[in-house]
Amino acid sequence: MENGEYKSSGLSPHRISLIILFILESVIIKIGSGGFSLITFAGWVLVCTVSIPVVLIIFFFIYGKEGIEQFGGILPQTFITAIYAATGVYALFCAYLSISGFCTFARIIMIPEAPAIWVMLPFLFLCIWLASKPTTVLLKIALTSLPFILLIIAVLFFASIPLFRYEAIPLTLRFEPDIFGAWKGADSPVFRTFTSLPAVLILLAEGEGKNRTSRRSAVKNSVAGTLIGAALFTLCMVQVLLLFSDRYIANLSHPYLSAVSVISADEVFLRADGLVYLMFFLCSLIRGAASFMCIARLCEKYRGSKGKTVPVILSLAGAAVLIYYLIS
Amino acid sequence: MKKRKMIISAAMIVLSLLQFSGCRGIYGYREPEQQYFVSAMGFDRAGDLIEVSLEVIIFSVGEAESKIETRLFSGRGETVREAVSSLSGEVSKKLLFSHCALIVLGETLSPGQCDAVFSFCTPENGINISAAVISTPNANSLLKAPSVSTPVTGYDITGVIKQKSRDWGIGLMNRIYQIGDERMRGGSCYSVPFFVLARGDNGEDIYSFFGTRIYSGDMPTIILDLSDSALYSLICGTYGSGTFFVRTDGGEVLQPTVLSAKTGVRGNVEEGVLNIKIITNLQLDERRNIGVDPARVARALEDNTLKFIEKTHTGCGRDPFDLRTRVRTDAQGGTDENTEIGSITVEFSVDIP
Repeated sequence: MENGEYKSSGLSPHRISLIILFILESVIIKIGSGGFSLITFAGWVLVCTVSIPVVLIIFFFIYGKEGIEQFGGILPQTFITAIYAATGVYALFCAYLSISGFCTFARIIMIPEAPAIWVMLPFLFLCIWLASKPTTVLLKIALTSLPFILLIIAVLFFASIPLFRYEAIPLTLRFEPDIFGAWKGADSPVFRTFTSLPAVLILLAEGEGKNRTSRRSAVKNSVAGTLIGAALFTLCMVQVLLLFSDRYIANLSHPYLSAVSVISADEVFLRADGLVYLMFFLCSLIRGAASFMCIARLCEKYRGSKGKTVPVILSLAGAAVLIYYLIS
Repeated sequence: MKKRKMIISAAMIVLSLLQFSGCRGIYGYREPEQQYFVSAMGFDRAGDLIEVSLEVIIFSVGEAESKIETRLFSGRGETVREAVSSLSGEVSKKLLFSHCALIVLGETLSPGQCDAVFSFCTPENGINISAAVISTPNANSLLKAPSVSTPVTGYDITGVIKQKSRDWGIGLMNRIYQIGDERMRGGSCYSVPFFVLARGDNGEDIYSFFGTRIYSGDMPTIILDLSDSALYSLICGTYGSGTFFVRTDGGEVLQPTVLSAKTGVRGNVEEGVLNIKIITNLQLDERRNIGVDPARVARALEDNTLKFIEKTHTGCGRDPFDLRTRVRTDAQGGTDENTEIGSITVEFSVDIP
C-alpha cells in the first residue's frame, strides 16, 4: 500500500479507522447540542447509509483510475476544471469545519485566553504537514489512534454508569416535533456528518476505482467504518442521554464534554476533560489533514505531476482557513 | 536529506505536544498565584439585589497545604453577573470558577433569583456542573465560618456532605446538573443538603449538616432532619446503604443498618384520580442487626412514612417525591402533571439475608 494504492480486495483496517475517526469527530463534540433524540439519530444513520454508495459512485466516476479525463474528448476542459475546483473548495470547507471546530473548542475549554492565531497556527501546520505526506502515513496514524480513542470512550462510558438515571429514559425518548430543529444549523450532527463524510471518500476512491473488486472493497470499508462509527456514536449518545434530560442537553454547548466532566472521583481535580480534549485533537487532526490531502491529490491529478504546485496550493489553502477563521 | 526530515518530524511532534500543554498563549499566561481559584459561591438576597459571596483560595509558591489561605469577597447586583462584576473593584486577580465545588443558596433568595443563579451556573461560565448545591439561612455567614478539617470551607463542606450521606445512606441529587435537569424536566421539587451554624465552645460559629431542605418551584419549603431525609431518600428511590433511626408507636427507637434498598411506585387511575402504592424492599446487614425483628422495622417504617408523606405534602404543596413521573400505571390510563393524586399507601418488606 503506497500512496493510497490498494492491493487487497478485503477489509482494510486503516481505511475503516479513518472513517470511524471522521464520524466521531463530526458528532462527538456537538453530540446532542441544540437538542437530540432517537429521531435525529435515525436520520443521521439514514443520511450516512444513503450518501455512502451515492458519493462513492460519483467519486469513482470522477476520480477513479481513468477518471473524468476519459471523457476529455466529449466534455469541455472548462467543465472538468470546474469539477476539480468545486471538489477542492468542498474539501477546503471540510478542512475549515474541522480546524475551526477544534480551535474554538480548545480556546473555550482549555486555553481560554489564548489569542486565536496562537491556537490555530500550530494545529494548521500539523494538518498541512501531514497532508503533504503519503496517504499511508495518515492511514497509519488513524489506525494507531483508534485503539486509544476506543479505550477512552469505553472507560468514560463505564465510569459514568453509577451516575446514570435510568428513570429518565422514557422522558428522553419521547417524541417532540421541535426535535427536528436539531437537523438545522452548522452544529447539528446530521449536517456535520453529511458535510464531512464525502471528503474521506475522496481518499477512498483515489486509487481504488480501478476494477470491480477494488470498488466493492471500498464500499465494504465504507459500510464497515460507518457501522462501527455509528455504534461508537450510539454509545456516546446513550451516555449523554442517561446523564442529562433532552432539555438540559439542548442548553449545553458541548454535551459530551459536560457528560464527562461530571465523572469525578474527587470534587475538584480528577475530572476527565483532558481525555475528551485528546480524543477531539486526534480526530480533528486526522480529518483536517485528510481534507487538505484531498486538495493535494486533486491538484496532482489535475496537473499530472507533484512539482512545486502542491506545497503552494496547500499553503494557500491553509492561509485561506486561517484568514477566514480570524475574520469570522 | 534524511537528517532534515528527522528534524522536521521532531519539530512537528513538539508542535503537537504544545497543543496539550495547556499553556495560555504568550499574552495570557498566568501562574496559579496570579489568579484566584473560586472554591465556593454563596447567594443571598439583599433587598431587590443579589449578593454574591465568593470564597477564593490564595496560593503562595512553595507553601504547604496548611499555609493555604482563603478570602471571602462579596458583591451586589441586579443579576449574578453584575454582582460578580462589582467585585472587580476589590479583586486584584482574575477569578477562575472551574474549581468551584460548592454553591450555597441563602434561604431568602426569591424564585426569580434562584433561577438566575442556576442560569449562571453553566459550563459556559466556566463552572463545573458537578459542583454541589446546598441551602442555609445565610450563605455569606456560612462561608465566613472557619473550616473544620481542611483549609478551604467550600471543599470541607462537600466532604461533610459526602461523609454524612454515606453514614446515613441518604442519596442526594444535589449537583448543579442534577438540579438543573430536574428543573428543566418540569419537576416541581428538588432537595438539597441544609446546613446551619451553631456557636462553638470557643464562641466561634461552626457549621453542621442538619438535613435536607426541599425546594418547591424554587421556593425553600420544609426542612427535614437526617432521619426524615433518610425516609425522603427511601421514598424517592435514591437511598443507598447506611444506618438511620425510626421510632415505633410505643416510642422505641429502632436503628436498622441497611445494605441495599429498592423502591418501586405502582398506581392505577380511577375516574381521573391516581391511587399510588410505594413498595420498598430493604436488605439489612446481618452482622449489625442482631436481634432486630424485620417485621417491627417494616411496620415502624410504614407508620412513619405515611405520616412523613402527609407532612411533606402539606409543607410543599406539590409532588415532592415526583410520584406522577415515576409511577408505573396499570392499563387503565396514563398520568400527567395535572392528574390528581388520590390515596397513597406504602408497603415495606425488610429482609435479613
